Amino acid sequence: MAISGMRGLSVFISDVRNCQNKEQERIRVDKELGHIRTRFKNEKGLTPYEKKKYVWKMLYIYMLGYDVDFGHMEAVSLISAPKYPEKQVGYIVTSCLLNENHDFLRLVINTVRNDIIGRNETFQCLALTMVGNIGGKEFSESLAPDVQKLLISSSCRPLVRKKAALCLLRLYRKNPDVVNIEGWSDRMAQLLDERDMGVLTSVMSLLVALVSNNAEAYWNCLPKCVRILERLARNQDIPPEYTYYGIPSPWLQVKTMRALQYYPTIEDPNTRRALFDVLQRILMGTDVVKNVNKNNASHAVLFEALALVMHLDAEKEMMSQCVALLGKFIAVREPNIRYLGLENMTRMLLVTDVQDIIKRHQAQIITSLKDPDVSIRRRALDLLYGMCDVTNAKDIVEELLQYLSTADFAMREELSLKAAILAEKFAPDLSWYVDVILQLIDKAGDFVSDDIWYRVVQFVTNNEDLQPYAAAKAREYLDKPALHETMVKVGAYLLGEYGHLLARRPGCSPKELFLIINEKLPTVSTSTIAILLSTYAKILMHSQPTDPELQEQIWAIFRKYESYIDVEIQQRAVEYFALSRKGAALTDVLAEMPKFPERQSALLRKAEDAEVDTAEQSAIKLRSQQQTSNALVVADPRPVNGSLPTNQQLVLVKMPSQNMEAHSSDQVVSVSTKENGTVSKDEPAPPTPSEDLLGDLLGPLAIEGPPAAAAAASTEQNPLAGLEAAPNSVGALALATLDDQANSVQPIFNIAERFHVLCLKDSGVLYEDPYVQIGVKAEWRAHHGRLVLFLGNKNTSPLVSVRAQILPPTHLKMELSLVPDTIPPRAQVQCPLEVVNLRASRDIAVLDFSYTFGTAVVNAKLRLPVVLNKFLQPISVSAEEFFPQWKSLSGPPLRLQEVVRGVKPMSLAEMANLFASLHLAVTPGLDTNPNNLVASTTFCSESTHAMLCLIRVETDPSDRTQLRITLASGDPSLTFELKELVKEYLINIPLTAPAPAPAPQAVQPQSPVTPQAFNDPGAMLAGLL
Amino acid sequence: MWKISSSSSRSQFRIRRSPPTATLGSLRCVEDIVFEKNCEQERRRKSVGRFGFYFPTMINFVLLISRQGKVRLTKWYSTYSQKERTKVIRELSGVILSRGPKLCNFVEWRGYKVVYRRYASLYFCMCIDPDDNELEILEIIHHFVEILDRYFGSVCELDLIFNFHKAYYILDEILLAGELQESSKKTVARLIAAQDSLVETAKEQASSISNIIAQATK
Repeated sequence: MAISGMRGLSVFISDVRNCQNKEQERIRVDKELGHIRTRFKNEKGLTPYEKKKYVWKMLYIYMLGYDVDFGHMEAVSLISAPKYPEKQVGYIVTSCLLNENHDFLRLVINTVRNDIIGRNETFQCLALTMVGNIGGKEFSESLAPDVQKLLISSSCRPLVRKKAALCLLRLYRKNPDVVNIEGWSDRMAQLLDERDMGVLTSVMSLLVALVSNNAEAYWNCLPKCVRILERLARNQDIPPEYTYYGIPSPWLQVKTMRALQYYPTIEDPNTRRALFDVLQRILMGTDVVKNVNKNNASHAVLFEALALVMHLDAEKEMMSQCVALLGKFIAVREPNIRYLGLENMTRMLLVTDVQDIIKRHQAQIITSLKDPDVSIRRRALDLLYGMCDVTNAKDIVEELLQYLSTADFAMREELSLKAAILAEKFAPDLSWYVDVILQLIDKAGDFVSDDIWYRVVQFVTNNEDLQPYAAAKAREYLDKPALHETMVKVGAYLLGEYGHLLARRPGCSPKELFLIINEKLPTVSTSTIAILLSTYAKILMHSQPTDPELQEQIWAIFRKYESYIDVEIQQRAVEYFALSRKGAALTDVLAEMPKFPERQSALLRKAEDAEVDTAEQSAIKLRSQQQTSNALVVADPRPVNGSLPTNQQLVLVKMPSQNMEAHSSDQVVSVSTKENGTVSKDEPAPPTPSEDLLGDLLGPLAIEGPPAAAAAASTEQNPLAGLEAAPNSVGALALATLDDQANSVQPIFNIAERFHVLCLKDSGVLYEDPYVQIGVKAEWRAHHGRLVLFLGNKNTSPLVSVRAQILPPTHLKMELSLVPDTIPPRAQVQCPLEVVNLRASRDIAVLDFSYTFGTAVVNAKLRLPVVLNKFLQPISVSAEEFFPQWKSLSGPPLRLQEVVRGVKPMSLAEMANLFASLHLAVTPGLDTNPNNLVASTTFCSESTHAMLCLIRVETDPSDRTQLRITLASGDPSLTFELKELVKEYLINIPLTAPAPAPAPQAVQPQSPVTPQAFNDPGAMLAGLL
Repeated sequence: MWKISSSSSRSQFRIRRSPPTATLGSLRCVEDIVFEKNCEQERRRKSVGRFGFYFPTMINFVLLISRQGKVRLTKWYSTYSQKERTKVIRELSGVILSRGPKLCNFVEWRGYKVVYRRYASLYFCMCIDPDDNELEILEIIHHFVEILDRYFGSVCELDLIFNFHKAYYILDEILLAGELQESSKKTVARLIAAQDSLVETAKEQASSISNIIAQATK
């Protein structure tokens, strides 16, 4: 048995094996290490044989898990030995003991190089092997050209060349610059003609790495890969020793298909056809056989072929064939195939059009969720998570909840997080969401992070309809005997806030609520006690008229906790006690919590973070990224006031907890902020009444772009004018179809009006008819915008064939997330829309929206309020900054001046308000003339970033219908577009509500000003002269 | 009507560093977010190795462990420090040895996949990137075992214990740089035999009279 000729080594190994316990083993190993150390110290008497033996012993000891912190030098020095046996040991032990960063490796670079360029084939092999396994950056710099030479040399034997190919691969990974692309791609193509299969396999591995980094450069290798694949698949002229269980090198097949997946597409029709023939053959011709190795090998090829088909975007027929295959796989008994079936189905989710076919396998996938194998369960969970959407969310989430009670602990956290996310993303209604989360807390409280219950509180707080329901649910759960502490927290919080809404129900009087919550008090931790105290204070506040007995009980608790060890609790107890003696003032201080600002779900963020270090599929990641934005946005119609607070995005993750704390401590500590509760109870902004009946008039203008004369002028000034042709056609289309609204379903309210309101506001209703309501909420950050379209079904039956498509003008990049095909009854679907502004233009994006209700097909083309002024950010500028800038931007096209007539008469204050609503910051005092107005703003677009714009308006106190406007900015097209925009508003738009001044909401629509003057700037110019 | 103020000496206009609306702050924050998002996408598009390189590696390491958790062979194709190596072995042997029979051969571990296969008392494990082809690796393991089998003649764990260095030689002929190097059993057997004979020849030379004399007179 012992082929090894080294007796000493064998003796040592059996000694170690004979050790009775770990302690004995350690003693034996230490003895040996000591021995080796002394022998190495006195190197003189060491024969090469002994040296070799000791180095092997070191490796063995190292493998047993002991630290070997000496002798590396001896191992490395063997590399320089002249004879093969020593050299071999030196190379192999070095590459096992050291990693690429070890300093000693530097010492042998020269020896290694000499071995590589030397004539001795066996030495070359040893050197290439070591460099291929542990070569680092330095090796790559000094050895790459030599290795390259070996690979393409015609005099080298295959055994050297295949090692050279893989060695070069390693060096390339360490430093991609070592392969000079020019010329090398031709070499690679030649190498792919290699007859020796070993060399070809290695070269293919190298090609995969090269192509993955730069597919274009190796375009010429593509047809060769296809030919190799054809040859393998047909088993044409493959040496028998390279067939594995009758399959022509499955590894080479897999590698070749892997390489093909890095090419974006295959354009050449012949190559493409040839490849699809091969793939078809693999897909159809793979059978399940008895021999497990043959089976594995053929399925390895099959799964790679599936991946390639997915990558190539094959015809739908082939895709369905793939899904059908996968459907078969996830039902088989063989665990490996089932695992891979699930995994690949998850990848398949990325392919459009097949999701529906995948959904048919839902039941089967759910069975896999109960598989004894955790690897398979994980895959099933991932797949369910990925395939979940509005249509099947209820089923899937309920399955997950059910599974939660039996799932093993390792998976519970992930499971509960995923269930919470899906519930939030796809909730058909909010009460269901509350149900799910409460169940989740009930079943797996330990695994429910705080973020999850914070989120449910946010939802309930921001949705008044939900409050009684949530409170009632919380009340039910509190009846349960053994309750998780998180449930106590969320229950107490909800009942404190909204318990009074249940007052009429049995068992829900303040006193009863108090008693049931108070039962939990002795068993909970400090953080929960704090919440319970707040709850008591709230209950006390809501029990009007005060029940003396209840009050006494609660006061007793407050007094008890006044001397509690935790300082936060102490403070709460003291303050609540003091406050509750104030009587009526308590109601103000402890009023309902204000609504939370809208924010992205912290859960989604968390999920994304978590995915970084779990074995998630990239498909899932991508999908979750795409869908992130589908998360319910807390519906919080706040009055518009320019831009939203900017700090929200930055503190996304930590917000919830901080916020909660902040709010509760606000209440406790500061009586000065006692308006907090009352003031910030935002009333939903009433739909702004019809300010502008002129909307219709403005409509065409806004879409058609600059009128003829102005357009002519702009062709000289505006280098981008030519580009505007395209959006104009879109605009015309939109305009034409606006009239088509006169089909059976009539919009409620005028679409144009709604559009104009939204041009100055960031949220409101864009469109409404008897069946559907489309709301918009927008956030703007520099040149980015994020709109959420709320598609609400107003009926009790679903809306089907819902389509929404954006027709963006050229200056906007818009991306609408998936719009579900069906909107369930009484449900609201939210579709985020990302906008990037490329440059200044007043062209308008159009939403082409259609749906079917019953037999009625409704189609509406809606202008989206993504207008120039949304990308403005007001900025005030001081005199010393303003004037030099103004001076430097002199004369057209950077500075334009125009006299405008037919202006709607307004006072300067009104005009300042109008400017403010357009995001232009009026700076008083810059102009000495009190009849003039100076404003400044920054315009954000991708091309210009933040560009400063300066505006000056000179009015004539004797005739308020005319004025002179001067605009300056660093971009001619921006100057022009902004001037036109301001002009439009001055002429047409009456002053509207969003002005900060408490202007009456219902401003009377002004009588239309002469449309002639407005439509024909030429005439106006003439009048001016 | 329009007076140009001469008070300013600055010729270059710049936006105030701290405008009241915090324009620049928000600008930066958006850019940061976008940047991070791009990086994230980039990272997801390419599978990043442990040290930030974007290349698909096939096998990060090979591990042979016995049922008792004793390590019989380790080979690291990605760079791991000594500490990391010990940790990986400890963690993985816990994960793999605890798995029952008739489960699938794949384990997800720290964002990687470990493909393992048990032969009698020995577990052969290979760690790969999550996007790699698992079955292919599974058959590389079997390929390796078949070659060992052919070399030792019905291989058992003891063979690998006492001839662990041979196992390393053989593995080096099959895998290189974490990729499959040679898929012909015949070729590998031929190469190993050639190496053995080289070592034998050297030994014979060493034990020849002239060498003994040379040693003695040194």
